[in-house]
Amino acid sequence: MDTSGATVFVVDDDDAVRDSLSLLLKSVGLHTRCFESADAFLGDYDPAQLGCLLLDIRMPGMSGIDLQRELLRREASIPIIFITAHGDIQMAVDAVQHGAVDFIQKPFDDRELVSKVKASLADSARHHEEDLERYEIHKRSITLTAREREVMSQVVQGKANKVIASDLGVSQRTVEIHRARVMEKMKAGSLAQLVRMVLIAEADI
Amino acid sequence: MSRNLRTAWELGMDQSSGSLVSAPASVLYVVDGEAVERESLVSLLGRLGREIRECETAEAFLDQMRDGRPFVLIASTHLPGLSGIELLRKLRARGIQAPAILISDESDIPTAVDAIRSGAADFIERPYIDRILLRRIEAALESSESC
Repeated sequence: MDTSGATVFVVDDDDAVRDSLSLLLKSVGLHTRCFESADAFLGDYDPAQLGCLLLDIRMPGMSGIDLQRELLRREASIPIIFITAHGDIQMAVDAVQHGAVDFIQKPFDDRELVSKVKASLADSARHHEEDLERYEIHKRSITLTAREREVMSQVVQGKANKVIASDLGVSQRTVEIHRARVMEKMKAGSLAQLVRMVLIAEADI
Repeated sequence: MSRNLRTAWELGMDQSSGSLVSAPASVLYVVDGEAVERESLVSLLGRLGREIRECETAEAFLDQMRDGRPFVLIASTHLPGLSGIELLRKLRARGIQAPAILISDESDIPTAVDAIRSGAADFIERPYIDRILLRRIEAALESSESC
């Protein structure tokens, strides 16, 4: 998975921690940006930006947990790895129940941290690609007419043209024409491709 | 049989209360290798008025759960064979989404993170506070019976 365009965002109020994390991440070739508060991060954050978030819990102002809740509210899907010196079980359980990827205690092992960061970047890149694909399919599907949509939904259920024709009360020839238009508009090279697209976009179509 | 009666029958009649429920009531499984711990859990959970089944190992649980009754799993992370987390992963891999609460003797954050990521509804350390454990299990029961 290509994560070269991804950024690791470090949010921690402690200068020394930010410096050492950014040094570590840059040393393994990861693009890194640091923020000294949750507010500073939010002010700058663009949800379209690919990356992951290394987040301290205890910070003056908005805490790391508050920031996580705020990102959830905004439906931002950036993976979050919490780093803390003061965590307890309940806090970790709560953070992960709310979608955090991990909850790491200080002092941490550099190599382990880097491998967790890389794994979550790869995950985020994959989700990002899926989002783009879903969006592309959605764009194609909205060009379909209501009748074409109907035919598509029957086609992907594996129904033969003859059956669809009798279900919809039209001629078989009409179904063939609709079917060809569906394939063309959806840019599907085969029935299998069309089925896959419908599965991916299920919620939208 | 009248239509209403048949519907009631199909939905399943809760025999203990005679009320109409959408599914048979969930069973509580207690899976713990330590007899003392298991007994104290069973006596505590007795207050919930549910059927409780005890198992010493994950393997014994996997065998018993085959009867298909809906359940809530309360399992220790440390078990003689498969661990609690391994058991949970196995259930999820089979597509079984029943709520599970893992109980651990150690206050270990990585294990807690692992448990939740593996699909546990909750993770509780020993010694637990009775009232809190009961509340968490009630929440799990609710979520298992609302769907």
